[in-house]
Amino acid sequence: MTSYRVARSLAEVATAVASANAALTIFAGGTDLMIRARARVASGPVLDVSKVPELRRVALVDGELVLGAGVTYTDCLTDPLIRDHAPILTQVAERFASPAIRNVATLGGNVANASPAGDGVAALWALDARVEALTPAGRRVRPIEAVVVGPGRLGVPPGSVLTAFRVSARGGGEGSAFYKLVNRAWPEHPMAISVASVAVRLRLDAAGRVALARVVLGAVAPTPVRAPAAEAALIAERPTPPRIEAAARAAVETAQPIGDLRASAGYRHEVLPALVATAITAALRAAGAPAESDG
Amino acid sequence: MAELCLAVNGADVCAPLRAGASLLDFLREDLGLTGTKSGCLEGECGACAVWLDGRLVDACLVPAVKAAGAAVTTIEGLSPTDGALHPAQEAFLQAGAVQCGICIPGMVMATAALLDANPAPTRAEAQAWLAGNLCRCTGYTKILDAVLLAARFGRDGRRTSRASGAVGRPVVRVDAEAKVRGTALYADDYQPAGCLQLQIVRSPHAYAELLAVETEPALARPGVVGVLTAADVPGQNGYGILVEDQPVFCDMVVRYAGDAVAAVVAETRAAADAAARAVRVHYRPLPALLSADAARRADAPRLHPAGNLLARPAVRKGDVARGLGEAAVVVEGTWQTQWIEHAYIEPEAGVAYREADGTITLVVSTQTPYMDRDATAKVLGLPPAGIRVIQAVTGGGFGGKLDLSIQPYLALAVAKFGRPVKCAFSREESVLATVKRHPYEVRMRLGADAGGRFTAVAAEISGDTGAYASWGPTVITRACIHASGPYAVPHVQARGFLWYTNNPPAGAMRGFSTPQVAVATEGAIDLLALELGVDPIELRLRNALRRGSLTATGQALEGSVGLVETLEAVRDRRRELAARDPLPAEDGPWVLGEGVASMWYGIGNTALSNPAEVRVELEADGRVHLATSAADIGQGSSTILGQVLAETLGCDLDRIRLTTADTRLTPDSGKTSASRVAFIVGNAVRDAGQALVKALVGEGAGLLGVAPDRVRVRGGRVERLDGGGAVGLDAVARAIRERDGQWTFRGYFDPATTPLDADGQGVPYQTYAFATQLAQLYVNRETGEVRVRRVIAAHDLGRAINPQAAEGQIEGGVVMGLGFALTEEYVPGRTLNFSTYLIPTALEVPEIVPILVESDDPFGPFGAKGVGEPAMIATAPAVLNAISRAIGRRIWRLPATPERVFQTMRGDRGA
Repeated sequence: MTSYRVARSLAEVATAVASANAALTIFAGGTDLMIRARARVASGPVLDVSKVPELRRVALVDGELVLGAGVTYTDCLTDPLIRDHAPILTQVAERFASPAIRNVATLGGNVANASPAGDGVAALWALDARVEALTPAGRRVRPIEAVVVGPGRLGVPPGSVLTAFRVSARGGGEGSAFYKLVNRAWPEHPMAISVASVAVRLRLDAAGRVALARVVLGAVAPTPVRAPAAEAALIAERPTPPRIEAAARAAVETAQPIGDLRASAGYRHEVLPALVATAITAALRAAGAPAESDG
Repeated sequence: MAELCLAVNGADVCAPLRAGASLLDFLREDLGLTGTKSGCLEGECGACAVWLDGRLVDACLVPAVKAAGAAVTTIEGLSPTDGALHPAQEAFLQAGAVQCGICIPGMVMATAALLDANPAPTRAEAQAWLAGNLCRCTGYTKILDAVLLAARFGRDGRRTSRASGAVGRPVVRVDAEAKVRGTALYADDYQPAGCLQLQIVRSPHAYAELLAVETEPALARPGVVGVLTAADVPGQNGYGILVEDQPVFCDMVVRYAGDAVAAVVAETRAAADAAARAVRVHYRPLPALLSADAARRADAPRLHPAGNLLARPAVRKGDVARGLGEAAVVVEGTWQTQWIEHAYIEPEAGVAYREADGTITLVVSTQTPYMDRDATAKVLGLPPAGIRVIQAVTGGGFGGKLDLSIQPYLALAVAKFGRPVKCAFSREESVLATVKRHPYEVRMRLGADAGGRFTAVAAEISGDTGAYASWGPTVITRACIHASGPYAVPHVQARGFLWYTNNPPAGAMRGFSTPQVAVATEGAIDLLALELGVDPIELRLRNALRRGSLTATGQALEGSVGLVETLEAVRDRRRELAARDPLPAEDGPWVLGEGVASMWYGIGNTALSNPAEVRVELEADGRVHLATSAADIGQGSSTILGQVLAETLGCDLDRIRLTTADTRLTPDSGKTSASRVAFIVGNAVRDAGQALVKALVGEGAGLLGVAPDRVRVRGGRVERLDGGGAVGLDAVARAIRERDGQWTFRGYFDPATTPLDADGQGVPYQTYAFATQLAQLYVNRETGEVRVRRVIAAHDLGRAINPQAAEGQIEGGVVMGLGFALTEEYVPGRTLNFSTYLIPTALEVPEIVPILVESDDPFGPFGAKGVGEPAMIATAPAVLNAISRAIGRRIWRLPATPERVFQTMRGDRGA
């Protein structure tokens, strides 16, 4: 790191982004960047945005939950607005790293890292997140699928700062669930990178039919991906076990897993329906019984 | 240079800020607060956990600059200023949660943070909270006990008192307080004035001709003092325990990715790192042999002059063909085990300096000061006395610190440059370059008669020993000796083949390869139990070794043999627990499985002399000084050896003063390996203690004016048996000092063993430890995931010198066994750090029920044998047997990852 500057306000960030060259490295929690710095991957001037108060903001605005990009995973566990209106982020945080990491790791950093296995990214995907960014060309708002475009690749210009996520706040009859499969001897262990993950958000109408379905798969494609066939299998139907099974099977169509150190492509393919079914079932339980939705 | 100012432990400090420094660097190197430890530098292990403005963080992931103006609390600042301990520190100490201690500062900081947020956590909450704090020693059980105890201290506002005493008492470890305070000095915590830093340059190629090493580009860099290569080795450019085939610096050929070719010595770590990358090494890569199969091919290149077969021991008893022929049932299978990394949380490290008399002194993380000294002296072409090795507090070993790592490089650098030098491996370097556990392929055939009595065992064991011999020959010999398990088998044939390859060297690791072989032996027995429809405990009882039984090497067992008692204890405890806390057979997609395995383990070197010498002195104040080179690597040997001496003298441990593991100050007690310290060094300590007692009796009787047979030594006094008076040891010491000077007694023990003949027959060990473990676990039939619910572990350790420490060994061994069975696999070239090598965490720890079976060994000190390695041997086979019973198919290959279990369920035998 050749120079390290700590920004104290969003205005300061905006100025830095507008005036900097493209090599500006944005430092938030640092849980990935510090490792890369040690491996001598990061270089060039660093802008630390972790002390910008605006980036920690959580607010309900016009029926949307606005989450500053500097919101940490500890915030996702403790912030009442997040717990009430985007409980899937709380569910992810419960399965995310250690307390020491959660205290500094941010939603924005997770998204900017653009890992296919980023658990927070999959959850934001299921929340139809729109991403606000300060780019050298000005402020931009893009859907998350236009921002996370490949492993480690972002759809915003280099030197941009992600500033906030606007997500759909939980409505009536809505439930969500996150499920991750890991290579540890404890299900959904937080200290492990997902072999595959599933983020599901469902809304039931008054008749108990599925009015909205988001089924997002993690770690089985270059980015988290929605599984439209699975969603279609659920929409406008009562979510009976055969329906859930059908949706789970259909989800596999979207997956293009690769094999790596953690698992083979074949295993990811074969195990995915069970993960999707588990997540759908849990989301339905949350939708039907809002009191348990923090689960 | 800019200054960094912040408040650390309540005091404002400023220090120059180095570019790129993390908060961890700043605390340790600039402020000298070395209580915060460095384990992985990637936020996986939690050893560097501190509080930043009251929040728990991993200091390795915080740039120092970010802490400007902040308040930081480290372990040194946790305890109150009056010198008392924080409740969490006291609880860790009393619960026996401290072994090697390297994880403890981070663990305590995390615990204190938890209790601030949640003063009454449940055990499950504590497990989840500590999931990011890795420990390789304790199995977390006593750490979780400590968290709950600390919470109780907080609620009650008062604390229980610490246990004292001698043999049989759960005495607080002698080194625990320094470890919970963060004041214990590990090798990387030493920072002598003017200390240089050394970084080794390693081969990226698994096999290559070494054409040239250009050091000039490195020498030209700022801060570089020099570069060492093969040309700088004045003595023997080779080392190894049994075959001295490993070069300090390669000069013609490199044999694995990680082989050392040069070392850069510079003023700072950053300068050394940068210069090491500037050394230009020219290689001609050669096709590498990356498996035992590749190495045994007739056209394979010879990696060493004697060929690629390092060792081929055999044990033959009876006529195995006849035994198999007579069997009513024969089961067979081939099991494959994986490469395993020791993964102690403290990577290899040391400092070295030249003393005024010219001696080169090494302060290092090690299991074996004397062997380090002798091997290093050879490399330098010096007599052994030219080198002094002092063991720093050592953050775990498990066999991996029996080999040289940093030692010869440090000594060469001091000899050449004359200044103090430090070398501390990064996690990545430790993972890349140091020894591993051997991967084995074991073909096992087991025959039994219709009544389930074993008639024959035939085992073929083939292993990959990597690039250099290390402990390979011992490891494979021990595998053959133990291959038929702790059972009376009339006909045994076990043949071993150990192959050199271009993989990292495999050496010693907890169990010396009995864990790998037990997977096959105990798996075969489980197959047989299913075939015969016999309960697996009952089947083992029918075949168990007993006192007087003949082993596979034809040894009639004269030591204690408590295998039957361990089997019965497990059976009884299982029944009790089933009544009290029954486990459902199914829970959604999760299915219950239960598996059993037993084990035996010969204590000490295999069929070799294995002596220990210690020294005991009566001090002027009446305390007794014990000097032993036995290296406490976290298992607690210093404490239990002190307890043995205290017991011999009839006093409490607090009367004993210890000096350990310094080749100048302590006699050679041998290495910390093969679970030998309690038995062998313990006997030597008792020997010396008895000599002291005899002398005290004579002297004390004289002072008391009675015959020697009218007095005894007890409670720090020589007292008349008739109660008519006593004299304190301090008075005795004063009396003799004037006449004799200091009293010194040498203690010695060497177990009675014999060499093995060509058929592997003989007495390889004087005594054996035995154990039985039962694992209850759930398998997810949709995903292949496994979660272990309970492990009952009954261990015949002869006598528990310190029951709390013995339980800690068992819990730690069980959890290491779980990692071996389920999550750990070292893949050369791909495994880098803890994010790619998954050792168990607190969250994965099941209920562990240790049972101490005290069989009172006739040869052991106060009946003790050993428990360090035995603790892990039965776990993996018990777990694999449990999975196999849950899913109805056998797991043939480790680890049983979700994918492998899933594929096995689907019937893919190649899984």
